[in-house]
Amino acid sequence: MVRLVILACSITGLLAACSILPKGNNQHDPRQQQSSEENSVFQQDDLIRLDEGQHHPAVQVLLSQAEQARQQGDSKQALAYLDRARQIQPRNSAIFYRQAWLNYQLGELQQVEQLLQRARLFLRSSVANYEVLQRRIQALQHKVEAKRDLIRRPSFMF
Amino acid sequence: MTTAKKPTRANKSSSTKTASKKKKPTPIPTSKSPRSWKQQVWSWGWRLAIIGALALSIWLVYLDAQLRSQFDGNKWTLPAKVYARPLSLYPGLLLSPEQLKAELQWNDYKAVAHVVSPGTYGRDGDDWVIYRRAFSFADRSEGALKIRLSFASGRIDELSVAGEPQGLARIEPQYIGGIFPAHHEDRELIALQDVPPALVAALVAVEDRGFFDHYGISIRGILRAMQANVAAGRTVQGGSTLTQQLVKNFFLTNERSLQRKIKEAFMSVLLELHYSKEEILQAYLNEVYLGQSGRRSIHGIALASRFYFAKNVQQLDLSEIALLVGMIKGPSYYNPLRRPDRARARRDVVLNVMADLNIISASQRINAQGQAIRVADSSRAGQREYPAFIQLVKRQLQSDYRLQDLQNTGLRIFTTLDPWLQHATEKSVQQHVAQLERQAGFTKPTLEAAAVITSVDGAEVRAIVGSRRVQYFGFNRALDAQRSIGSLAKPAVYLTALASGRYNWSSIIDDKAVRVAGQDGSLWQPRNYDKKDHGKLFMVDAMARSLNQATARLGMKLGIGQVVDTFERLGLEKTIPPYPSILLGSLSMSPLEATQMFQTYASGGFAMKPRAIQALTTSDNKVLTSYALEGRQVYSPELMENLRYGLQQVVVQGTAKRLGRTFNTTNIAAKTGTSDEQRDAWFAGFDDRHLGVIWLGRDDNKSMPFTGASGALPIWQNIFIQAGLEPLTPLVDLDWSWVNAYGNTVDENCGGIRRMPFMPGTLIDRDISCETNNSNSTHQIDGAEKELNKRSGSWFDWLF
Repeated sequence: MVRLVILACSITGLLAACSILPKGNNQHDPRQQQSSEENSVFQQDDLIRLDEGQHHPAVQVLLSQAEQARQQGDSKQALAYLDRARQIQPRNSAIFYRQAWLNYQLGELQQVEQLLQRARLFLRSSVANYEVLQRRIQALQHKVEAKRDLIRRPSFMF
Repeated sequence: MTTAKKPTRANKSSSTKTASKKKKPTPIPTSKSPRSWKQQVWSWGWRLAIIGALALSIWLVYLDAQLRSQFDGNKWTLPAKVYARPLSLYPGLLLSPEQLKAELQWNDYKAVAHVVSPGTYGRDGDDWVIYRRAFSFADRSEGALKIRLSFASGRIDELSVAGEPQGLARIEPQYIGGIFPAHHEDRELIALQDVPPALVAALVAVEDRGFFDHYGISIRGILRAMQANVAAGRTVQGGSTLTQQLVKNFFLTNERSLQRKIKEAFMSVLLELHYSKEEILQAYLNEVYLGQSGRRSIHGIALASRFYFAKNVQQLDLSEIALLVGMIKGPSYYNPLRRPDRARARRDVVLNVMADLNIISASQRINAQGQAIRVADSSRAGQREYPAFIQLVKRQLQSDYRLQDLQNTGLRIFTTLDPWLQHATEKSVQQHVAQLERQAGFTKPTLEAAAVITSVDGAEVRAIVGSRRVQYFGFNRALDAQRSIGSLAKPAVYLTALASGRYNWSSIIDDKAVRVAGQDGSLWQPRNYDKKDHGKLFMVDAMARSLNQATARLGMKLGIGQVVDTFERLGLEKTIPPYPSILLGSLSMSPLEATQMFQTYASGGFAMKPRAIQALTTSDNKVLTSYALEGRQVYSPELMENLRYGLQQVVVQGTAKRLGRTFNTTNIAAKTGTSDEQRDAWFAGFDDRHLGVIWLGRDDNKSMPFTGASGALPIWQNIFIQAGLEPLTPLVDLDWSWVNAYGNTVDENCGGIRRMPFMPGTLIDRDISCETNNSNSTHQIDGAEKELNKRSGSWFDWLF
């Protein structure tokens, strides 16, 4: 009887360990940690610096409106403003980066990747915020790759 | 034994007969017979009356239920409204005053001296004031506002909104059509409180003076109508109340029968029982039929006001109100566009009635009657339809929405159409097709054309023409014509060569005659347009001059399969037969598919489907879907930039050379295309903003005396003259080097004859010394050919 109890406890414990393993790993995943840091950096620092870039005044208006909408949690509205901005400046890397970032928040990874491709294509070293933008694009690309890896990784491992 | 039993009423006659045989006939008492007959009739009458009353009650309950169910919910099927793109205004925008003026006018803005109301604008030289109307855009609603702007050097210089400098403003988008149900009923809904009181008063005065007193039917009205009709000897007046008219239009048909009339009367009374006079009046004003515009029927005073006068109902003057009310009697007979005299007479009758009833003063009547009948052009941009574009919208939406939802629920569809470009495209197609027919000596319309214009970066369809008859709702050649693309296929062959890494534009290729044998023994022997062989030449020159033999040779060396892969990678979603002839464009495509192929070149390597829809909202402006920019990168920007060099050479030195002279720049990428026996003429080209693909041909697929350069190019050229051409800017920087006559990279002073682009990084470690390159001058050509000849070809036998 004692053996049976021990066996049952062992099996239960093993199953529990397997099922929570990925979650436990995520909590300490350095990439996840990095991503939350990046979020705060994005909001507090880089976004302001991105705005220091030389945008067209019309685009600047729309970027501000998009940022307001984003802060209010209305990502769709923010994307609508950004798309208007894109139509005015269809080769502004910063607009694509922002669109990609918002799509990342919405979990649209495929969309993020194609927007980042455009962000990279139109990134010119002549723009004032070149370095910040380049760094942000790379960081977001890493996040997307990490997320894709997580999706591919099986949740149960025996 | 006889019984003394008294005969019952039932067996009375038989017993009487029996008795008569035995006895002397006694007179039958007849005094009771008439009474029993009457009683019978009376009795049956009652029964029938009760049954009739019961049936009537059931019918009325049924009618009542029917009436309430239809009248309580959405009363009308509202077609989806389709809008063009809004016109964004900002400092620095390339915009001509002509375009601004045209777009305002197409949007029913009126030019005035003093801009004080929405929907008007004024101009003083380069300074403009526009009173923008309130509008619910796809992303948000915006109120009416006054925009001031000034022009300098063809661009907007300064912009202010409500007196404050602003970075951005926009004009509401133009209405460009609807997605109608089968009966093509169109209407705009309006609330009664938004209708001018004078219009309501005029309507009641003319159509139903006792409207506020009766209960759906007016006995007095019927008697008065009868009297008038008898006196005239024909029907000159109707006795129907407004309620009856509404019931007839809303629930019944125009059938002239007593049964319909009775039903109408009952339903009118029921309607009055359940709904207020105001509700009935509002429904009437929205339901009433007021004319026809092509396939579209105009319903409701709001739409009629916009259609006939290009105004909101609130902006109508007395003369227009009287005319609109007068037209209700016979929208076709009193149509002011076709019958201005009749319309004027009818308007004056209405004004007389209004004055007689003291709704207006005598001086108001005289003043209004003195005005001429002024109506807006019914074919103006804001009221006409754009069939080819609407068909595309419908097709793209039908993958996400049911057709009946598009036709019935009043959705608002915000699209990518640029009205200015659309008009330029239509005008150019119409003018040139007619001109080419004159040139060719065609005595009746023979040629057809189609055009698609998109934005290079977003693949937004800015204009589309599906026929020379631009308002024709029939076969849309831009979407559905499948025609051989001719030399439009060639860039895909050269792209395959460049992508292989074995070729660059300075590679020497051979333009010798070529023969390819098929498995069935047939021979494919393409010849150059000028029937000449051009020998060995730079690959870029073969592309620019659209040489068939050189391209066919190159394609066969690369392998048909490789070229088919390229077509597929470019976004072509159809089965491509692996025949050698596809190298020279035996492949059939619609102009829209050809646009998709060129879109990849124009966008820097992103395969994108041309898209016509930006967003979709409900009638109360809730966003249902926003269509974001999509497209995967299928080629590197470096490779695309390299290919674009070749396409620009078509303008620099090739078949589209005349564009360079016209636009004073050669920074345009283009390709002409002509199919076998000149059955199809194509032109595809793009600048920094727009891509345009033009097709010209005959519906009977016979040949015509035009090529891509002489037939389709002039149409493209005219569109871009009007749109304004912005020279191409490089996507990325390529490496450049001088090459000698053998295609070897050399120093400029060492036999370099042309400067050519190379993929970044490929020039490193290349020896450009004079000795090396002159001694090895033929190696590059022969080496490449030998290497390629070694490769096994397709199932065709590669001859030479």
